[in-house]
Amino acid sequence: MSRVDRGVGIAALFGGVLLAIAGWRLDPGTSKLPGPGFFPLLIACTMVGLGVWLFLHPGSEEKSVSPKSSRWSALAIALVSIFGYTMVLNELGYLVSTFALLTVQLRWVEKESWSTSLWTAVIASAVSLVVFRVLLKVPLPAGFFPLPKGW
Amino acid sequence: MEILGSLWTGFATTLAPGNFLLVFLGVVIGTVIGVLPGLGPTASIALLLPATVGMDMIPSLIFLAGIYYGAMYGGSTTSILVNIPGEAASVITCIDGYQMARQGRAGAALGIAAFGSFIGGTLGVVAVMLISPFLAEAALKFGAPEMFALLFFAFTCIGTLVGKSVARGLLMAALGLLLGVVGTDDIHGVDRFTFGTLYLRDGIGLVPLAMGLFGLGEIFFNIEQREKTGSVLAVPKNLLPTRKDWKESFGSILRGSGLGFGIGVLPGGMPAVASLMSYAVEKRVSKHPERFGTGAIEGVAGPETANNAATAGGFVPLLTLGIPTNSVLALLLAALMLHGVTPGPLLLLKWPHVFWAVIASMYIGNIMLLILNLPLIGIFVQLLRIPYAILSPLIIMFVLLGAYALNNSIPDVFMTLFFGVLGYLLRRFAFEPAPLVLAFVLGPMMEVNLSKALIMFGTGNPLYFFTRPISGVLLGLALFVLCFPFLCGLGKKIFPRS
Repeated sequence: MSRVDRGVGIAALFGGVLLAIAGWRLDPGTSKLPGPGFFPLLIACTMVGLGVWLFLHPGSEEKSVSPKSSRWSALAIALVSIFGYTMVLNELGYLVSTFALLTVQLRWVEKESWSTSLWTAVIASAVSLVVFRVLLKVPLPAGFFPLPKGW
Repeated sequence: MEILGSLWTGFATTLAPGNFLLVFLGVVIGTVIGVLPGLGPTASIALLLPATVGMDMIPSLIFLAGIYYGAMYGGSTTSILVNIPGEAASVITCIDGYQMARQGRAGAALGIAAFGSFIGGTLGVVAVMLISPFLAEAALKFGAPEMFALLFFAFTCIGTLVGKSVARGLLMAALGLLLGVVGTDDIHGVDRFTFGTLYLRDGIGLVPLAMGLFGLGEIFFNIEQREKTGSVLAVPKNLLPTRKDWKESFGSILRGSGLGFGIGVLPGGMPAVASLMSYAVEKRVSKHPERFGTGAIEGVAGPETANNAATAGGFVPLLTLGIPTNSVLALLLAALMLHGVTPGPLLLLKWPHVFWAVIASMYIGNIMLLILNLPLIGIFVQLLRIPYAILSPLIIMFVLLGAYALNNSIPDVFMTLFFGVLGYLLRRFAFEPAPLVLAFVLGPMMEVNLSKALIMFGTGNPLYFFTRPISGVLLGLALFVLCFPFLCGLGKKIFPRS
């Protein structure tokens, strides 16, 4: 019995019930004149039905695509650094924040040497800035770093 | 004659220097994407979609389509030489392709994969060209009930064909429908599930969703599950298959073309499904099935032909009915809509030049790929020597950059990250994200047509849909597709194999 299927089944069941309440509040209308909550209510019914089905008839326990050697810490660093990047992109500007993101990814997620990390981060952030801001005219945030005139 | 005239116009458009260059760029980028593991065609097209907004409609479409079928060509290279599929459709090629390479027959495997891809792709395009006008004409007779029934049929196919279990596939599709209703309701003008935010009023964007699920999700999964890759086997000088190779593969290529195209036309019939089914068929029809898994050339020729034929086949429902059959085509649909084109039966009437230019570009692109792939395979393989540790942060950077560049908006980047985490979790627990994306695209169309049908024909009786011939047949087919796995299970219980 797949525990994942059962867990997902319960989640779908509760999610479906919540969605049904939300759909009802939106006004489902009637089958002759459906309201804005009609379609969400149909989706909710589908989710509840599938949730019950998955819970009662879970697939056989299969090997989840689990890693041979888990690198949870690397994944956590990657996620936190991307979240941080998104938070500071406007304030620090594209060049500085992208340089910092790449350095963190290369040095602490991918375990590259300091020199490889720094050089790759410098080149990649500078080249992407030139390509996107100068050539493709994407208004990437400048931040506090002074950019040449016309960029 | 009319078809030939239109095709001629399509060739004239595609052979214009700018467009020709874009076809070339598209197929080269596609091949590179196919060769490199970790960045599939869906994420790549999502990434490049914002860059095509400034282009005219035809150049952007032929460029993106080139990436798609280019990726299908490139995917076989890594499967054969490194035993790592470049993209999902080439997973099955690893089995016999890598064994052939280990036996010193990498040239024959790469050669037959390239020729098979070319033949499958070209026959597929011929079929698209011949079938589409008739299908589009028939689809003009579709009203709201028929469109709803067709979309419901597509929904059930997507949910049941893709993924390991029907319930899981349908649940993913239901989640996609739910995400599709977020935003201001088109019919009543009411905000739904926006949580009071202005950002969600426009709905969730397809590009952040696709880039997150397929781009970041894949990268996060690879970060956690870093395994050492096998060494890259040497590229042989002679890539031309021998007469014996051709004799053994010819039937597989023909079967792969027909099967792949047929599957590609079906909603949910992704190239990966086509290649898997082709492998199963080849093994079944072979006089020596025991050779499969030990380096049988039919195990390479059939699947590689089938995935390219399926790629072409997917353009039939997209261009004639406006229904994407896989996540890449959903993004091409978004590209069409970004340029003001409404895909569907009217596409051939209102924008025939778009349709025929895409068809002509596919002919030209397939020839380019054959010419490029055989002599330049060594160069493409060199890309595999770039360490994934360097490539992975760069892909993250491009995904985030692409998400931001779409609307110059930070919330889009957050949304991409959110779907990246969701994509990682789905991958981790073996849930297929493709039904989610397809239902997300089809959902709003389905809701509008359902509402229209119920309001216009105002019977209030859901059985009304069964009283109209076309919608009745389509809903009957949908119910059959839904019940098929259970009927199979029941059949096995009643008639157990001895």
